[in-house]
Formats: sequence, C-alpha cells, structure tokens
Amino acid sequence: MTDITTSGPDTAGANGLIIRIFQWLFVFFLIYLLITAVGMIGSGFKGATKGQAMELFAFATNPFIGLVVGVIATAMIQSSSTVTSIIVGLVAGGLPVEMAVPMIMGANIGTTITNTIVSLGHVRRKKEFRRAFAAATVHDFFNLMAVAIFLPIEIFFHPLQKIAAYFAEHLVGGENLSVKGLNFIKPITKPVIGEFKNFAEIISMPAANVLLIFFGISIIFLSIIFIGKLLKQLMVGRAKRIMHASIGRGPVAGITSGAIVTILVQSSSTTTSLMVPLAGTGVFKLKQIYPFTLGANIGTTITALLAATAISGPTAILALQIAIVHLIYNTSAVAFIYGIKNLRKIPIRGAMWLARVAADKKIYALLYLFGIFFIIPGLLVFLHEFFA
Amino acid sequence: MEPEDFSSLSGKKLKRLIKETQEILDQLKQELKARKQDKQHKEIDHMEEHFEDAAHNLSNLKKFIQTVFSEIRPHKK
Repeated sequence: MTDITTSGPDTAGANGLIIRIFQWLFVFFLIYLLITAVGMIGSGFKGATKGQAMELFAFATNPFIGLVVGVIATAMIQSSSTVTSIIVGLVAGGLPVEMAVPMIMGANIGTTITNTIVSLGHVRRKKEFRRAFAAATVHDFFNLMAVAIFLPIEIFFHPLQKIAAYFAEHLVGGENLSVKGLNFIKPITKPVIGEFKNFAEIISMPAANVLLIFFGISIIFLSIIFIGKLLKQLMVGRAKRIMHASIGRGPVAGITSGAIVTILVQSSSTTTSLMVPLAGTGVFKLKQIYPFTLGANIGTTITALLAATAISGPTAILALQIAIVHLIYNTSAVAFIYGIKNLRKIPIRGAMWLARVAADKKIYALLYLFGIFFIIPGLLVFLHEFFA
Repeated sequence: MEPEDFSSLSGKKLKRLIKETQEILDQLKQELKARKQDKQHKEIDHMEEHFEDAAHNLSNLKKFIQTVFSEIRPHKK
C-alpha cells in the first residue's frame, strides 16, 4: 500500500521543481525576446530615419532636452531598464551617442519615481511616512546630484563617451563587428525580426519601420515586466541571503548587495522600493538604506549591456558604447559622491529635510512628485520648443 | 543622579574601575547592536511581503491623494 503521508511532500517537491524549471525556461525565453526586440528597434529606426536620425532627434541636440526626455519617458513607464534598452536600440539605429548620454542620465532620475510612489503608501502614519519618504527621496537627491556634476563635464569634455568608446572598441570583434563571443546572437534573432518586419509590412508598407519600432518597444516593456515578476519569485531566497549577509558589514557591503540583488531581479525600482518599507518600520536607518540604493544604480546597468549584445554589424560598437556609458556613469557617480564625505551627506540631508516638510504637509510631497518628474521637465521642453 | 565621590580611591583602583566599566559598556553596546541586527534579519525574512507591498504603486498614489485632499479640506471651512 502506498504511504500517502510520505508521498505527499515528495510530489509537491517534484511539482515545485518542475514549475521552477518552467519559470527559468520562460525567463530565458523573455531575455531572448528582449534582445530580439532591441534588434527590432535598431532595424526599424534605421529604416524609418534612412540615416537621418540626427534630424529626427534634432530637438534633443540640446542635452537638457535629452535629459528631460529620459526623465519623462522613464517616469511614465516606471522602468529604467526598458528605457535604456530602447536607447541602446535607437543608438544601433543611428541615434548619435552624444544625444543618448543625457537620455541615459535622465532615465536614472525618472526611475526614482517608483520608490517615491511606494513610500506614499505609508501616509497614514506620520513617523513611518517620514522615514519611508526619506528612504525613497535619498535616491532622487543622489541621482539629481550626479546629473548636476556629470552632465556639464560630459557636455564639455565627453569623458564618459571617450572611456566607453575605448572599452567598446576592445570588446567588439574586428571581423563582423559584433560583441566578441556573442556572434551567435544575430543568427537566432534575425528570423524573428524578419517575421515581425513582414507582419509590419502586411499591416502598412509605408509605416512598416515605425510599426517595427512600436513592436520592439512593446515587447521590451512586456518582457521586462514579466522577467521582473518571475525573477522576484525565483530569486527571493537568494536575495534574502545576500541581504542577511550584508547586515552589519558597512557601506561597501551595502552597495555590493544592492547591485547583486538588482542584477538578480533585473530592476532597480524593485530593489529601491524594497528598501522603503524596511526604512518605514524604523528597523533600518537611512544611513544603511542609502548605500544599498546606490548599489541598485550600478546593478541596473546590466540590462543595457545585455541589450547591446543584440546588435551586430557596424553599429554594434555604438550600442555597446552607450551601454558602457551607463555602467561607467553610475559607477563613477557612486565612487565620486559617496567617496567624498561632504558630498555623501548632501542626499541624506536633502531627503531628511524634504521628508520632514512632506510629513507635516502632505501636499508638498505631491507637489514634489509631479513637479520633479513631470511639471518642471515638461515646462523645460515647452519653453525650449517655444523659444526654438 | 548624584555624582559619586571617587577622591578616596587610589589611581590604580580608578584605572581598574574605568577598565571594568569600559568592558561593560562595550558589552552593552554589543548587545544593543546584536538586538538591532536581529530585528533587521527578522524584517528581511518578510521580504516577500515587502515585494508585494511595493507592487501596489497606483493604489498607494490614490490613497495618498485622498489623504492630501482630506488634509486640505478643513482649511477651506
């Protein structure tokens, strides 16, 4: 006779394993879709602009407008990974790297809206809200400060572009100009891109390239959402172990664990949002949350690097260059701002001050949220267009 | 609390007392740190719930806007 008491957990365990295997297979399939979609955007953008990408994005020749585009786009779709992947695709399709750099910086600011909105959920308890709002906005202050320091330097001297170009040249193969060791990407993505192109041509021949860009953006958006959802389930145990290990080990461990958790869940918004309730309870101090948040900035750059592997041909080097710009920018911002004691304190002080003000009068939190992410950027674009 | 008179104590005894007090102080600090870290570990154990909470972005925003309006309304009266 079968012993049902022992076969029960075994069956559940086996089912769990099968589910996990399927979930992982689905994650790999979604990553494949993400890479393919970046290729679609590159191909569609190249076809749509016919080498005139510079003219199409003429409005973004002003780096501040490029920055604003990055902020608004990311704040609206609440995913910097999606926006940076799209930017990689656009660069592959002809968007100059110089114009894409401020957009990448803007994406960093735009992504901070998610954890700020999460912190609003603590509104009913004043102290808890103050702590949660400070934990969320410390990321905003840091990213605003990083842009204030690095964007003017980049405009005048282009250090990020130059360093990234150097690394991209060394990483891209000479023969067929695709990322070394990843030359297998094109053969596996090309047929799917071709099918989508055919489908777009069936819908509308003149608008086929624009439709291809639209398909690419939609697929990136959806695949990143589902990758995030699946990885949260699959990686929660590992993320917990990493965070447990970082407790009491100082800021470098905090930055490292923040970066690793973000790589595991493929979303900086998830990591930084996770910090908000931890700070809200008062168990974690803002000083402890801060390095973890900065690690998320570094970890999130993996998505653009992954997206860059989708591109082959002459623009592969440029796609990789912009992805490396993202990595270097976020890493050097952390090293520079967090490395200098007086600079390190500014985001903490700013966040604490804003949280105090917002906890007393909630309307200020609302004004801040819409002002920083939508009204001020929108106004800048409007004024630029008006005077241009 | 009244300050104690240590004038009758020898220098040697004072040094010993300081050392002992320092040791107790270190132990107390260690205990406090361990308790804080224990709480942090417990909070991390609830990570699934925190992930869940973080996913309800729009309902958070709605709840917040309602609170803001309820804060503003009494001032109009």
